[in-house]
Amino acid sequence: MELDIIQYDIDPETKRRLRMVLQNLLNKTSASVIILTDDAGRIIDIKGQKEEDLETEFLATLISGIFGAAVEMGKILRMEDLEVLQYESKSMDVVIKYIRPRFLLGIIVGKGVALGTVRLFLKEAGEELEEVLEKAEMVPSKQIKIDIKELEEKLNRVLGGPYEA
Amino acid sequence: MRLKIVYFGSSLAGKSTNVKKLYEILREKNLTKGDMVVMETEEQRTLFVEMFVSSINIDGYEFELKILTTPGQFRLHPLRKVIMKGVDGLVFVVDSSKEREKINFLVMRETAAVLKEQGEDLLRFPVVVQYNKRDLPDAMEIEDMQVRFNPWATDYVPAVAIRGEGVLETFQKVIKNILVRKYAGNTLI
Repeated sequence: MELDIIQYDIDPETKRRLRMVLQNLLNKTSASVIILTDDAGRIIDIKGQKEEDLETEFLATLISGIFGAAVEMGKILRMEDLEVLQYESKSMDVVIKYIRPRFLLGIIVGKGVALGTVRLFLKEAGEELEEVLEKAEMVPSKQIKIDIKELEEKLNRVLGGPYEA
Repeated sequence: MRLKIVYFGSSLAGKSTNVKKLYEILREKNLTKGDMVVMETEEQRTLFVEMFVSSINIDGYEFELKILTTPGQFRLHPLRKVIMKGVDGLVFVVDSSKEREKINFLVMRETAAVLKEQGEDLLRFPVVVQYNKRDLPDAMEIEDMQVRFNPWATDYVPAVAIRGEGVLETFQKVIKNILVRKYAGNTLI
């Protein structure tokens, strides 16, 4: 049996608009990193110093994990819907904002920027992102056809077969 | 394509051992991206998650695989729910010890409930079952375990994860099962 594996991506116009919102937020807040991720920790877009950094994947997972854990705590405490999560350290602050329907915007800023200001700009950016994401379309970006046997053989070749201690 | 693979199972079944061994094996083959993140308690029990990212290329098609564990201890149930969010495929690590039979089953039931909250059905999900700790003297017979812990009739792998046995095979099978489930309609795996 043949598998028709298709990779989907956000349409280019939505991508462009998302980047613009993140860039504006970066300019206004001088953030070191801004990450837009889905609630499962998959990066949608990233701006700032860590764009090419391998650790961003972990950052995205932890942003979604921390926010998810706070939501679970909120359920136990019967809190209203959690919108913003914020924590501070001596050198930097992190603010995570929920973006409907299932996204998160994380921003990491140095101590030179007032948190109130960051939250204000984050609120504006959040509203813009929600508007953009509402109209987002997924378009096919890559496709391969492969049968299951061939897939198994290729996985075996790439991963190197059974491990021997 | 980005895929999220989660290892679940009872506490001390060997989830962390699997993921740590897998990381070592894939790192040797230059198939990892960055380090492994470990968040554990002082007793080396998983507190939140262990995770790493692997990148493999098939016919010029890049698969970015995020591999995570769930914490096994009962009290960490809320964190298991968080880790499971948006998962693409699961590895069910089953402790072969006879005395862990009941707890293995309870974990399966809890995982079904967690996925149901997310609108998913565990029985229709891409899963690989790994029967770990096959070297234990009281290890149950595979046939008995199949009846109890493999309601999917999916691939299973006997393993001794601490020695690396069965670790890579499990990983290969879960990738295959995810892709088959996603791209071959209602095919039985």
